[in-house]
This record gives sequence, C-alpha cells and structure tokens, in this order.
Amino acid sequence: MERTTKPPNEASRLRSMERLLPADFFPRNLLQKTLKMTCKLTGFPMAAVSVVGENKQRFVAAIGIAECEFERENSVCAKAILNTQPTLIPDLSVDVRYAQLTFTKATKMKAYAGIPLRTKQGEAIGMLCLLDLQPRLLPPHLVLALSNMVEILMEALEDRLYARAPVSSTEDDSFLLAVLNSLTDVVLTVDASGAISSANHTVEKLFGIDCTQVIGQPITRFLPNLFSGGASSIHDPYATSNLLAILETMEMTAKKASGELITVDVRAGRLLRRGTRTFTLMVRDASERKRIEKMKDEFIATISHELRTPLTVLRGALTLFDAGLPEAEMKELLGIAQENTDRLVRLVNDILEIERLETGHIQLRPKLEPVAKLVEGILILLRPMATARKVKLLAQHAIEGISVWCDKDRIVQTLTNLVANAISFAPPDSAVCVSTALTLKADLRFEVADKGPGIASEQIGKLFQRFSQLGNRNAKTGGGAGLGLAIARAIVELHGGRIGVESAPGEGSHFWFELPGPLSFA
Amino acid sequence: MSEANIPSLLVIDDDKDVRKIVDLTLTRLGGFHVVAVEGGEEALEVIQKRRFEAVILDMCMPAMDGEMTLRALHRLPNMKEVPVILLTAQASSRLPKNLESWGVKCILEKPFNPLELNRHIKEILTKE
Repeated sequence: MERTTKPPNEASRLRSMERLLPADFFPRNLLQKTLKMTCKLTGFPMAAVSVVGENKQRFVAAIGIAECEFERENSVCAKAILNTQPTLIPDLSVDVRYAQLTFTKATKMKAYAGIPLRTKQGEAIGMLCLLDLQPRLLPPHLVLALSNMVEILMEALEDRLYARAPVSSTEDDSFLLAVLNSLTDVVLTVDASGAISSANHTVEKLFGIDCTQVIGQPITRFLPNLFSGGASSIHDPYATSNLLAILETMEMTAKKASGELITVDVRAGRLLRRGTRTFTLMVRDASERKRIEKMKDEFIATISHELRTPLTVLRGALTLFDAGLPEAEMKELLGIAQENTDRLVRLVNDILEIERLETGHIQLRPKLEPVAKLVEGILILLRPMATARKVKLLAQHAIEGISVWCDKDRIVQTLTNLVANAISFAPPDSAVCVSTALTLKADLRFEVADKGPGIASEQIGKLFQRFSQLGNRNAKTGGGAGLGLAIARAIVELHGGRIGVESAPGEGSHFWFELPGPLSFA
Repeated sequence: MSEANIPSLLVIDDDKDVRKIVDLTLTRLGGFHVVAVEGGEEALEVIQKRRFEAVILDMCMPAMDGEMTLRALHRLPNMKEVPVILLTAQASSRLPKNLESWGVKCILEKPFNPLELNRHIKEILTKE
C-alpha cells in the first residue's frame, strides 16, 4: 500500500484550516448550499466537504453520505490534497492506489471526483468531493465549473472572517491603515512635545488640510484649548490635569485650516511604544450631535408647554368649581374642563403615536381600498364640522372606480387630518375640495385644497415637523398640538409615498400626498 | 370697596380657555375688573384707552410673543409704573434676563394655582 505523505506546507495548511473553518463560527449553511448546488449541477448523488486534519480526514458537511471520519492514511481525500489538479477516479475499487484503503472498502464507493479546497497561499485544507456507488467520470466542463465554484467558496470563507472581526489581521499594517482611513472620525497621534505625529485621511474633511501636511504641526493649532492648563503644559502634555480629563469625551472648539471654528468631541488615549509616550486623539464633528440635542430640547420644551396649557385650565376649573359661581358659568366651565381633558388625551396619544410611527413600531395592514368610498366616508364624518363653519365639502375623482393598496385606517386618519385642517382655515362660504388623480409616475395623488390664508414659504419647510403649528391655531380651531402633519407624513412615508403642500399667503393651500399603490381599476 | 375703586387688570393670553379661567379667577374669586385679550397688538390698543392697575401676561404667544409685548408696553408712558405678572409654560431658564427692569413683579409657572395668582396680585397692589 502506498503511504500517504504530507504536503510541504503542512503546518500552515493546518492553521489555515482552523482559521477558515473555526468550530465556533462554522459556515454550515454556506457549505451545505454549495454541496446541494454541486449535486444538482453534476447529477452525482453524494457530495461532501472533506477536511484533512493532522491525523484524521473528516467530512464536515455532506449530502447523501454521513458526516464520518477516517484515519488519514486510509483516506482518499488525504491523498488527493497532494495533487495540484482535481482528482478524478471513475472506479476506486479497480484503482490500485485506492482499492485497499479503508474508505473504499467500508463505503463501497466507486466514483470519486475531488476539487482541492486551496487557499490563496496554495494550502489545500481539504477537498470538495463528489461520490457515487456506480462507476462514472466527471466530464471536463463540469470539472471546470466546480473548480470555479470552489474558488468562490474559498473567497466566501475568507470574506466572512472579515465580517466577523474586521481588525483581526493585526500584522497587516496596510490593512490597519485602510481601517483608520475608512473611519469618519479623525484619528491623530501626538508626541510628547505636542506635535502631531500621524493622522488619518479624515483630517482633510474635518480640518481642511491634507493628512501629510499636519505631521509635525502643534496640535494646538487645530485644538487651541486642548492643553488649557497653560503654555508650559504643551511641552509635557502628560503632566496636565486637563489631559487626564479628556480621557473622557470632551467637547471643545476646533480651528480649521481656514480659521473657521467648529465644535468637536475629543477623546484621548495614551500609548507607550518603544519607550516613547504617545498620545492618541479621536476627534469627531459635534455639529450633528448638537443638532439632535437641540431638537430634543425643543421637543421637550414644546411638549411641556403643550401639556401645561390644558393643565392650567383644568387646575383653574377645579378651583373655580368651589367658588359658588352661577349655574350658567359652572356649565361653561364644565365644558371647558371637558374639552381640555380631551386635548390632553389627544396630545398624549399623538406623542405616543408619532414615537411609534417614527421608530417603525407600527405595522401597516394594507388591502386594496376603493378610493371614492374612502373619501366619501371622510366627508360624511367631517360634514357637521364643515356645516358649522359654513364650508362646503367637494370630492372630485379624475378616474372612476380606482382602488389603491393601503392601510385604510391610516390613510383615513391622514386624509381626515388634512381635510379637518382645511376646514379650520377655510373662510366661511368657501369650499374645501378633495380630489384624486394619477401622477405621471402612476402614483395615486390625493389633494386637499382650501381657500384659507395660505402659508408663507419659509414656514412650509417646518410644516411637517413635530410641533410645527404655525401661529395661533389652538385658540381658533381647538385643534391638536401640532403633531397632526408630522403623523400624516410618517404614515404616508410608511406607505412608501410622499407628502407636501403648495401654498402662498393669500392664495389658499393645496395639501397633497401620493401613494405608490399598487392600484386596481374596476 | 366702591365700584370706582375696584382695580382693573389686563390679561393677555392667546389660549381662549386659559383666558376664560384667569378672567373668572380674577373676577369671581379676586373681585377685580378684568379685560382679557388674545395678543400683544390688542393689548396695546386697549391700554392706550384706559389705565390698568396690573397686567397679567402670557410669555409664549404666536406672532407678538410675551417678550415683544413686554418691551412694547414698557415704552408706553402710562405703563412705566404698572406691575406685570408673567405666566409661563416653559422653564424659567428660558426666560429673558432683566425682567424686573420691565416692571415684572412675579413669574407664575403654568399650571399655576388660581388662588396663588390672586394672592400675588393683591400683595403687589397693596405694596404699590
């Protein structure tokens, strides 16, 4: 019996095998899918991914055959990894090299076609092998196809390791540099004299200066307050208490190469390398964070204002109930208290609703909905309100019998909001018109037109943001807290649509939204 | 107190329900005369026609807000000595500085206790 010898790169081959097929991150799905495709492509009934370990050969994934293992010297695959080419054996039992191996005898396998699983460094960690109990030969065009497939599989095995641990190849300097340059934060190192010793490419975007030009410059040119302990501290950055402080993230002013001042967040770390102390800085543009913080503050301020107003009314009304007012005034007070309780409930509901919509916690339940019926339902609902304000409600449909794929309740909510707004702002004896039509992109467009006071262009941009109520609407309309249009926008966008308004002071407003469908025509 | 001696108060708040509550509180519980308006412009109009013993002003109003109204009122010669009570629905940190120099005697955060409002007005008017 011919003895199996080991390939010359055996040690690194075994390391590669461990690395590409780690037990705790085993690519079972990838291997199974590859095998399935292999069988389908070649018509072979069995296929396996076989790895050749130090002493054993093992099928780590298999189709049509058990995941089993054999002594290395009794394995076909262990021999096959020594070949530079694919190993194609039409009948193992008549081939003197393989007929006596335990594998051949135990499995009674006849046909064997194996493609080596070779790394880029040329290490064969195992075989992708096809097996059949009947003698057969894999034709050359399929050998080629399988070889290509194995090449892709090996790349996929490498790639998934990057996805798992992007900085795992620490020995690779250029890889580390690429990682640093891909960051959106500036990463700098500063030596003990306070001079910049290295910088990633992001420095160009943040400070407006090429990363090669910053080397050697004092860090205080860009971060003037970094060592605000005094000029002497620049020469010994580690001595200052301020440096210890910025081991936490610290907000400070940065000076761009152009002289422009911006706010940045700075985080620092220390590094002792070859006896020299270096100081690493991560600098991040803080404008986005500041913008979000400001928005949050405004949101809370507005919520607090909107909650306090009805609470003032309720608290006042409760005190006055005890004041022995005439019955008519008591009745009026009761009405006001009730209205403001509703206002509070609406506000709390709206706040929760916008949160749920904007965080994607609301699931649409879409169906095909007849458009004319949907609009008519809203007009019936809002007619009393319109009549009370002497406003006429009209509906116009460019196409009869159209249905649109949407969540009916949500679209009714949106359209009701737009129509109710329009009624509130329409002058008496005018009309509010709800119309539908197809756009050029074949989206369904809803439009709500009123002859109200219109909206100034500078306010239109803010209109669909939270709490964007323009002017004094509450007092006149008893309406919501300025969340209605933000909710409408969130609902339309959840449908994949768009919402907007065309308006100018004195010219009324056309609120519209478009739904992408699908549509159906009766 | 004879009819002529009843102090007149000007209430400025854009919310009609708050206006009504403050009006009732001051007339029914406090026994004052009250004129209630919904914004700075109306306030400037009525204040030119008659004298008020005190002004109750909401800070957060659309168009002409509390601060603008306060500045405009303070410019009127007959308003220089008139005490102002501010009503605010926002944190006091957001209020403008030097409010005292504009005649502001007291700041009440919404939701305020109506009895407190009355008590403050009475105290202020007694001192005046």
